[in-house]
Amino acid sequence: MESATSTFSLIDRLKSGDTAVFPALFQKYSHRLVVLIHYRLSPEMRLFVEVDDVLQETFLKAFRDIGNFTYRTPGSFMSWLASIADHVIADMARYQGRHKRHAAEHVRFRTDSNPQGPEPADTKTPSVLLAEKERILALIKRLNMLPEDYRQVILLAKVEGFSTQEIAMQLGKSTESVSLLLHRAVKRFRELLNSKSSQ
Amino acid sequence: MTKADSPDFQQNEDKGPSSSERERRLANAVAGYLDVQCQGGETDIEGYCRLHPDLEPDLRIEIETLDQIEHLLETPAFSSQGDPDEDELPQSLSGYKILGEIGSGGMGRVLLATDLRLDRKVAIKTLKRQYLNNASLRARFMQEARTMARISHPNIVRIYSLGQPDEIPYFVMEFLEGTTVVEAAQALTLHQKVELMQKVVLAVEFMHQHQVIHRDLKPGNILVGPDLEPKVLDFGLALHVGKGDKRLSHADEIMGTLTTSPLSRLGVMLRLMREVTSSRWG
Repeated sequence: MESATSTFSLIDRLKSGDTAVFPALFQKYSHRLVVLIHYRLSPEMRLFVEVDDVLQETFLKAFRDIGNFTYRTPGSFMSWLASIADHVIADMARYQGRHKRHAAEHVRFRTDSNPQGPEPADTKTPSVLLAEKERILALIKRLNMLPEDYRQVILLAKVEGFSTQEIAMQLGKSTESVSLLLHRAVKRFRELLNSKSSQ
Repeated sequence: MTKADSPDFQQNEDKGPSSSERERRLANAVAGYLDVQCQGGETDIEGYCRLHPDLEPDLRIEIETLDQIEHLLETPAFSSQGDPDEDELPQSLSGYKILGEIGSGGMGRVLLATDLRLDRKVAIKTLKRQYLNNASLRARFMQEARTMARISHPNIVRIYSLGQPDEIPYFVMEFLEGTTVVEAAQALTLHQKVELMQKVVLAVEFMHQHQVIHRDLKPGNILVGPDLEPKVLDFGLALHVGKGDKRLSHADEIMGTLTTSPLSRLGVMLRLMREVTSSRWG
């Protein structure tokens, strides 16, 4: 999981008004959020909502509401971001049928026309972004090859950062059952990795 | 695929129909490692695996898989351990011109290079950049080189030399041109397949005689060249044990029967392969 200390420090600085750390803090979680948002969007919603749009909207709301966030555990920030993403997705679902919105139309990050907005969350070069996107797409492709329960437990453990006890509570299983499920899921994921590159 | 389709969980109550005691302990150990990470604690694969020696190598493999997922989810610029995919190829390493990358595994990557002094192609295994500061992984990487240096056999990949102390950790091996044993076997007759596997078994016996257990023998780690000679490679999980170690005894007993009839030799080979490859073969 992420370094709790650095996340805590970045949040602390951001809450103190040091907005320069904003890109660092949110980029740190962007891959996890992309994967999470991808699976939270229904197939129907993916037809009119882009993952990037949800990601940018989530970051903007988090930036605005960071004062309300209280750091409790290493996973609490990711849980908070996930809950914001859920709200953003729910809001976007209400817009279904009206018109497709793009990030640039509603996200008020800093641009020439909006110089007071926060620093864009992604300041990387297109080639770096493309390489990262391919990496995440490759991960999603492999996750999609897993049985649903295997994929779910990996998402809960590695993307959302829940402990086995927390996963057990969410799924209504015993922790031992969750441990077995996770073990088998990881084993299958490993087989998928090996089947791609055998050396 | 739904949960009901998941073969491991058909008829599953709570622990799964076929979960053995070892599997449950392995599952608990993996979960324990994950929970330490979840709490923001420092995790050291080597140290954690030492706590569960009887679960090796499966525990290590699963933990490394979890870490691979973690690396994919970390944003490179803010990853505490760097980005394996952004490791740039070195132009050269003392006396070797790097030509490209052959493959990439858990902690290392294998590069194709030219030995400028001898004018021949070689394979160079390097430690990934994100592990350079991990003392235990560096030690394990060097152990892999030393293990390979102990054994010289025509069907086992050869090591030529170790890198210079002032460069990234690497060692130089013979370059193998070929394909995995599974792909190669598709074009072979049954007799050729048996001959090929017999060579693999004898190579494994040779390792065992030199107190080396490969522990990761699988089709992907057996390359077959155009001359149909198999080569066992990747000693990243290999273990060097002292004489009298119980873990060698079973294999030694089996190998002791190899000079019997051809039919029983085939049976012995199959038994040995099943033993050394554990559940990951097939």
